[in-house]
This record gives sequence, structure tokens and C-alpha cells, in this order.
Amino acid sequence: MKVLGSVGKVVLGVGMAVILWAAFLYAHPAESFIGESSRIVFFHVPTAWISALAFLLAAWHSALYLKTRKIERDDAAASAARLGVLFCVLATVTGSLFAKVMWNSYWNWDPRQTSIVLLLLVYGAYLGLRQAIEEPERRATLSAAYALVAFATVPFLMFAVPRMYASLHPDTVINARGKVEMSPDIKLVFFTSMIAFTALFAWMYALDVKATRLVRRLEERADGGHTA
Amino acid sequence: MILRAAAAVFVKDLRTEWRTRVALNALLLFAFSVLILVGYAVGPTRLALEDRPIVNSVLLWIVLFFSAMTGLSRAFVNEEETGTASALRLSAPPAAVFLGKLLGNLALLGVVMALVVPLFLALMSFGIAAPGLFLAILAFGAIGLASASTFIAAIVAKTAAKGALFAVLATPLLLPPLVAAVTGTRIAATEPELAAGLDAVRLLFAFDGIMITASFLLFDAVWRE
Amino acid sequence: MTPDAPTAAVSHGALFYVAAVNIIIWAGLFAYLVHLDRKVRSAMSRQTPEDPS
Repeated sequence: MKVLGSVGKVVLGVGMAVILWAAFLYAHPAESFIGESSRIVFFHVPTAWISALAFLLAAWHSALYLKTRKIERDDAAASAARLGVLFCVLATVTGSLFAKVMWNSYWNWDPRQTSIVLLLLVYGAYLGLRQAIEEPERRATLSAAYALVAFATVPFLMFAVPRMYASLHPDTVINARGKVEMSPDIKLVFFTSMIAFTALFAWMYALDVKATRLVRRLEERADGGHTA
Repeated sequence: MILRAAAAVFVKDLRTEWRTRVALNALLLFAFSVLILVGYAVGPTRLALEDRPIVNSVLLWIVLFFSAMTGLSRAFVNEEETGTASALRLSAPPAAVFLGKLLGNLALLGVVMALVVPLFLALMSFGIAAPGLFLAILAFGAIGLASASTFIAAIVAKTAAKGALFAVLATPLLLPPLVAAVTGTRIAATEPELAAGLDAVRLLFAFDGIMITASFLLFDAVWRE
Repeated sequence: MTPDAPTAAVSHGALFYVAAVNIIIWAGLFAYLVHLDRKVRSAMSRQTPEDPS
């Protein structure tokens, strides 16, 4: 699974540097944000988006594992969940910094903050379950079942609860009126950043899947050595 | 067919439970101990009047939640430990097994609630303004607790860690319905009209529906593992 | 937060948070790299001693 060629990696590296420059020096601060805090959006939103993407991938591969019983699907689900937790932690912490600037408190149990912590707990539990089972097939089946039940119940709250209670969180990218309300310079940097972070995630994900597969094969060989 | 098999599983579990009453005793002992602790330490008068509805709601659901965590994990662990699981696998379809176990856990939780909730209300002088809403919240909350616990119990029974893992896996899934149940209970304690707590009931109902549907779809894979 | 607060001071403070956000994100990605490296390495080292036997 090769996601980025060597040219792609160079482009991504240079692109990330350009995005960093543009986020600080090219884009103007947005209105209705305190000071320069709108620049946080260029980094916070991609991490949140990627964690959602990763959890979606984890559920997708879990479902396919239960369908096909191919252990490679389990590797892919585990990698996606692991990266999802990583980006979810990053989204939580950066979001909390944003909350500090905008609302002068790191944590105020805003529905968004509550639901992202729930996500962290759920996928933390998923990874805990994986660690508790030795046998690969059993681990794959049970964790896939848990991932799917968790995915069915918790994201429902991710989407239902923040809309039921008043949230201080700014509109999501496409707001309730169905429009992207950003000035052109901010829009350019924002969407470039989303693409770049997604590409970075694709690379990390491919790498993690490969590593997981490698580690599992090495362990299988070691176990085979014991029984022989 | 499935309903009859489920009823058979349910009755079988009730019989075995009645013989030893391990789960019921554990649940009740735990619930009463916590109840005494809460009643003694907090009591009916120690809280400021405006704090009572929310604190009492939280305490009530903490008692129920932890009781569920101690007692409801037994559902499948017993079968795997005594080696009767494979017999059950052969004799009943998975959906029936799940439904039977779910009903068993629900019955267990129902008995505990029927004893603990009135006692809690009395011990804490916790008045309820909308009894209908309160009962709806209790019922849907119990279904949520029981369905999530039953499914997680099926997963946990297949692992080596069992008890320790049960709480870790069940808690994050149960937090959203518990928050809704606490909110609903607080509203039931203060607002006499039913409509005020409808959001909480709706959320609990949605959770129960999703949880039970997902469990039925996925139980097959877990049970055959 | 007050309307007559000097904006320069506010923006400076906010920039500090933007920088902190960046440091956290890149530190997180770096920590992940370390984790991945360690995982592959430990699997390889567990493997090698068993090979000759």
C-alpha cells in the first residue's frame, strides 16, 4: 500500500512548511474571534476531522473483518483506531487552548468538549480490549464487535447532543445556513491545510498498517517456533 | 420460534439464579451498602434546598450504575466458566440466547430497582414532581443499562481479564444514557409537567433502540467466537 | 475581553496560544513516530534471538 511517492512526500513536506507560514503570516485574523485566535482553526479543525475520519475507517474495517474474516482488516482497524485516538487527543488539547482564548477557561463542559472526551474514552477502551486478548482471531472478532457497537452509539451522541444543547463552539466549517463563511485568504489556507493534514494522515496510516502487519507476522513466526 | 427459545433461556437462567441467588445477592448487598453510605453521609437535610434535585439524581444513578456493573457481568461468564456455553450454542439460536440473557439482566435490574429506588427516595426525602416521567426514565434507563451490560458481558466472557475489563468497556458506552437519565430525573423531581423531560426520554429511547439493534446484529459473531 | 482593552496585547496573547497549538500537534505526531519506532524495534528484537535456535 503505497500512498505517497517520494515526490509526494517532498511536496507534502514543503506544503506543510508553506501552510505554517501562510497560517501565521498570510491569512488575516477572522472577525468575531479574539485577537489572532482564528489561526488556531487552521490546525485544530484538521485534527478533529482526521480523528473522525480515522474512527470511520476503524468501523469500516471492523465491519469488513466480520464479513471476510481476513486478519489484514483487523490490522487496518487497529491502526485507524490508534491514529484516531492520537488525533482525538490533539483535537481535545488544541480545542481546549482555543477555549482558553475565546472563553477564558480551558474546560467548561461544552457539549463539544464532552462528546470528544466520550470518543476518547470509547476508543481508549477499544485499545484496552485489544491488549487484553492474546489470540489474534479472537482479538479481531471481539474488538471488531465492540468497535461497531461503540460506533453505532457514540457518534450518534456526537451529532445529536451538540445540536440539542446550546454550544459555544463556532459553527462547523459549513454552517447551518449551508454556506462556507470565510474570507478568501482564510478559506485558501484552511482548505489547503485540510488537504495537507489528510495526506499526512494517509501516509501515517499506511505506515502504521504496515508496521502492525509486520509485528503480527513476526509474532506469529515466534509462536510457531515455540510449538515446533 | 426465537421468542420461545429466548423464553427457555430466560427461564433456565432464572432457575439457576434462584438456586444460588449469587448475582441477586451481590447486586442487592452492593446496592444497600452504597445506599446506607449515601444515606448516612449525605442524608436528607445536609444539602442546600436548590442542590437537592441534581445531587440526589446523580447519587441515585451512581448507585444503580455501580450495582449494574457488579451484578450484570455474570450473564455469560457463568456459562463459559462452567462449560455450558457450547451446549447452549448448539441448542439455541444466537438471537434467542441474547434476548434471553437480556431479559434475565433486565429482570435482575428490575428487582434491584424496585427495592432500591423507593428506599432511596425515602432515605433522602427525595420528592418527585412528575412520577410518570420518573418511571419512564427509570424504565428506559434500565433497558439501556441492561442491554449494554449484556452485550459487553458476552465480549468479556471470552477474554482472560473478565471482571476488570467489563467496567472499562461498559462505562464509556453508558455515560451518554446515564447523563440523560440524571438530567431526566432532575427534571422529574422539579417540573410537574411531563413535556419538560421529553428530550431526556427521547435520548434514552434512541440509545436503547440503537444499542439493542446493534447488539442483535453483532452478537452472532461474538457468541460463535 | 472588555471592548476597550488594548488589542495589541490581546493579539499577542492569542498568538502565544496559536504557537502552543502548533507545538502540541507536532509534538504529538513526533511522539507517535517514537511509539511506532519502538513497536517495530521491540518486535524485531524479540524475533532475532529465537532465529538461531
